[in-house]
Amino acid sequence: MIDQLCDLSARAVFFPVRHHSPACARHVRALARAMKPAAILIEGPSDFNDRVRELYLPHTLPIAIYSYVRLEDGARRGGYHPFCEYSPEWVALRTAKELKAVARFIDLPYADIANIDATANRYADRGLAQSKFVARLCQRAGVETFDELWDAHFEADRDLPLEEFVRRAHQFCLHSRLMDDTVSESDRLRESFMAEQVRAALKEFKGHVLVVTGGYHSSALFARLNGLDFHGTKDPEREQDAPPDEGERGIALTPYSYERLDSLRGYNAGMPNPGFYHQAWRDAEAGRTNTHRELLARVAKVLRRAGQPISSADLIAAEGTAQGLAQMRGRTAVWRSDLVDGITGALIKEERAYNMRHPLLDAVHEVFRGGERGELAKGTALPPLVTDLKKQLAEHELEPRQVPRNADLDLEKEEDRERSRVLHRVRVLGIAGFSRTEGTDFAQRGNLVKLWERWDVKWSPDHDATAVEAARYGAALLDAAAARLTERAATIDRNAEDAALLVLDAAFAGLSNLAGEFAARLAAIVRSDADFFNVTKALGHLLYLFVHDHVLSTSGRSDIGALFAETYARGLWLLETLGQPSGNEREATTGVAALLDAFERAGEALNFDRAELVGVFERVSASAHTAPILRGAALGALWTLGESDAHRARAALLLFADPARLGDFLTGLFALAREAVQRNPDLVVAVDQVVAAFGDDEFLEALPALRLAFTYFTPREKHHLGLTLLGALGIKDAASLTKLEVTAKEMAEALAFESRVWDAAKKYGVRLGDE
Amino acid sequence: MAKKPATKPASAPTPKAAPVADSGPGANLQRPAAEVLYAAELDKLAERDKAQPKPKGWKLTPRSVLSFVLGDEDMGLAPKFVGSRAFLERAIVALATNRGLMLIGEPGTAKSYLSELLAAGISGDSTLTVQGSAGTTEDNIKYSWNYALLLAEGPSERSLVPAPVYRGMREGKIVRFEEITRCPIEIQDTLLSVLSDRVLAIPELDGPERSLFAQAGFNVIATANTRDRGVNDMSAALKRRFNFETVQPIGSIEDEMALVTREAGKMLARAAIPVSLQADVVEVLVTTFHELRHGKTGDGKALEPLSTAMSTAEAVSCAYAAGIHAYYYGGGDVEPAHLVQHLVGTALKDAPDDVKKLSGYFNHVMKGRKRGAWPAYYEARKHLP
Repeated sequence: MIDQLCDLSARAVFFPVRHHSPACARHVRALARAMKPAAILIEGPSDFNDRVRELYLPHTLPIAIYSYVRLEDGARRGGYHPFCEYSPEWVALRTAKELKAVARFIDLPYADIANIDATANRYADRGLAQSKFVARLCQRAGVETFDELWDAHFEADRDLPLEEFVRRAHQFCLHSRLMDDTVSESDRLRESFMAEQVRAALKEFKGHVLVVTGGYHSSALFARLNGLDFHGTKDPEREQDAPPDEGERGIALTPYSYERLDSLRGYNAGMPNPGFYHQAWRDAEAGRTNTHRELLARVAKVLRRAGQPISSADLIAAEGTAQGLAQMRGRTAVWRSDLVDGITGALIKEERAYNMRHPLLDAVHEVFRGGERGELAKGTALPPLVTDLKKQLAEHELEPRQVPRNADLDLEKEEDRERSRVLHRVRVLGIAGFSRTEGTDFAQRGNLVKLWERWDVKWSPDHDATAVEAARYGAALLDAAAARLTERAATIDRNAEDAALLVLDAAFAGLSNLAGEFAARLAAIVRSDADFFNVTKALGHLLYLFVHDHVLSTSGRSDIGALFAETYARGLWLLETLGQPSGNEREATTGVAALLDAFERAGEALNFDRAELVGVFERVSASAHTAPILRGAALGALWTLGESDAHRARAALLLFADPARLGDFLTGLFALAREAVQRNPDLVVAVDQVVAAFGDDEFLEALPALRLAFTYFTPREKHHLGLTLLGALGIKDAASLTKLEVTAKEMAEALAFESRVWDAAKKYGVRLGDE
Repeated sequence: MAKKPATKPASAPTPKAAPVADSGPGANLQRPAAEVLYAAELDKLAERDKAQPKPKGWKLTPRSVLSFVLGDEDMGLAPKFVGSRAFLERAIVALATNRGLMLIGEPGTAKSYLSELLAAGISGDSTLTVQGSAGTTEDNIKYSWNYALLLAEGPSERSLVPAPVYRGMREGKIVRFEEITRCPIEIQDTLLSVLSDRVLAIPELDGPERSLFAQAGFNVIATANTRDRGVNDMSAALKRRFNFETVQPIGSIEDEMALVTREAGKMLARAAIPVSLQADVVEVLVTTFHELRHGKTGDGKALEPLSTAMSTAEAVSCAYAAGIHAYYYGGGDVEPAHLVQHLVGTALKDAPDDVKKLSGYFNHVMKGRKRGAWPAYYEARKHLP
């Protein structure tokens, strides 16, 4: 079969590509020029065929063909076919034009399989990357990833002859295909469709036909056309769904960026490091060698700009190490991993934590990622997002005009809420001309009596540009906003509060659920945050959304509940390991209060374990290594939960009868058990007894913290406590305060002097006055 | 000098067949050097490399050094070290350049063992070793004098007593400098001219002998421990002359489980204790070490890292101690409770904060795990202090 596949004089020649591989692009062009086919058939959305000429406009790459569809269950899906200048598909298109051959896309429209295949990057090479063959080959060849394997055998050697390249690629792809356990339903459907297209083309055209598809499909297509029995060519039994209405699906060109191309990784693994391959392609086109030097120079520039001292000697060492590695790995030129490893070895001068980022490697990745951003040429149909945006703004009378205006929205009204959602989506996407200037602060939640917003709406010269720019996030305003929020989530590093604020933004924008990747990322942020204060602040925001909100439609939503439960569990854990917070004691009590609040308001709905919470508070309140304020707060929380009583509080009071700790302890206790304390006035009497036993200096030391502790009560409550105290001490009428004839400062000095006299007298055993 | 006894090869899998026969080279040694132990493998590789271009002064090609350390199925070489291939490639290439190699990492990651393997592979000699300590002097590094001869004949090559660096330069071999950051900075800095100009000045001698120029093949592998005194205690000038490579703990829990079972089993067998470690017990132990070491649970929750390294070597000794405990004071089966009791002694040492972090780990992470030995392990938390 291999020999037949590699027969470059056959009527239909199948060229296997890895998407976004410059080597494939180069060879496909060479092959096309040599065989001069009548038609070049390319894996790509066939519903774009009638608009192929749009692709020939003078665009700035990268761009993508974006297909979108609304499924029967209402879910929206979008798929990208991204093109950069070194994409084999793109080069095949250009070459077809050059040879005056017909260029045609032959893949199923994405909308037809979106319900069974959610992969957003349609050029992802999932089949190749996942095959057991690749894993085994990596092991044998002594490389760690598919990308390195591909580099070593296909990319790094520029002088590989065409025939050899095709044979190698077919061999590689054929075996990957054969050792892939299950060929997915969508792959089989697509191959069936593509084979049909090829068959039709062979009938239609007299000459040769060049078929450019992902290598995973080449052998299967060949087998189908030749009626061979082959792995994974059984057509799935599937009733073809009636295609959704035209209004529910669409396809259009949209600008793209290397940043996005590179970020579509992980499960969707496309080719990484577009910046690197871009440079490699350009150098190969211009006949230059030493791609790595140019990139190394750029890395050095980025590092120097960041204030890292990189000397010429360092660069020489990096270059030398990279050369040595390339040689050892049997390559003629330094390639991607050699350069990364060379830089890693020669420039990093400290320990590298396991699996962690390193600023130097970040710089390398920035350069390797590349900064190219696509732009559509004039005359291209506007990206679908822009159309949707215009429609939605018009529907809600929010179009930007030359004359600035305000939109005041009353969030209690449904139609204003809808307008607010549209505006927030626009804000999230960074489209110019809209800003929220005033309104209810949902993050602080100071005043929730009136829920409203004021927006400034005015036309700005950047409006169109930013709208087109945002088109890369999706076709519909809502989807694009969701995609943008997901992207933002990826940039948050271990800060649960930021994650919670993002959820708030999602709620403003009216995202009705936190979709898979977004929710997973948010949960990961919460799990990795080790800061008790961040986590409990996040808990506050989420509690508002989950329990109290009534305008954002988030109350009781299970996705928010799940994140809320995650945050709550994280908070409990962090509380226990918190120890001695310094400088933000008050926030610590707020944090404990947030945990208690979360349990009381939402514990039932989310099945929080009461014993767990009580256990944590018990351990914190008993831990000798923990700050008094936290121990007080934990005890207060237990009291509020009914797991402790006044008796225990009095006993604990004696533990903290030390002027440096008493105030802190009471602050914590009062903050969490304000009501319980008032119901048990004898606690105040006990406090009085402890304080009365203090000497003057001790009292002064304890005073500021005590003052803070009592600020948790309102004036009325304080008055009440005072009366209780006087009653207990048997004083009937509260004497009015003496009016001082001297200043407070003089008074304090006199008291201090007096106190010293008493102390001195005591020290020398002198009895004075009425003592 | 004798450092790291039995636990040393912790991250090194045992070769499948014992390479040393009863009567072979080094049969009566407690611990033969790598080049003696693996002499047959080295010969085989040297044979393969006969016609290959090699860096000057090297016994093997860089590729064969890599095969020697990581093993090679086709040639029947046993793997000796668990680590990423790219990392080892970088390390070996660094030694072929004009910079030295600095291996840094947590204690118990087999840094010294790796440097021994590299020296044996490249120079066929891993014995040129300087052990760094607060008491290391220049004499231990470069050369000193035979004072009787010095007084009788004056300074001459005959009266000079070469130390590892002198010998490495003269013979074109790799010199190992263990725990370099334990030496005072000024002692470390004696390596500066050796590494940059590749020349050692011997001012006492006359004529051409005043300068010893390094033969091709000379280089330095230094190791430093990131826990004791950091690599910060090293001058920037010297740092510049080294390529730094961090030796990572074993990345996969499966690999580490296999290693702990094997090593602890071997130690128990040596102590004639017929106790075998069940897979689920080893799993909880290794997972605990793994997660605490990386400060992250399997599902991505951040943990506060402990102040100790939680190395594989410590996991082995914890399993070993639990085995002995089970045999003498228990029913003969290693229970999770035995592990918990020895966690504190073998791994936590004397940090009260660590105990708190460990109980946090038990209370909030393990509680949710309902499979295998986890519930029993969680119940055993009462043994924590």
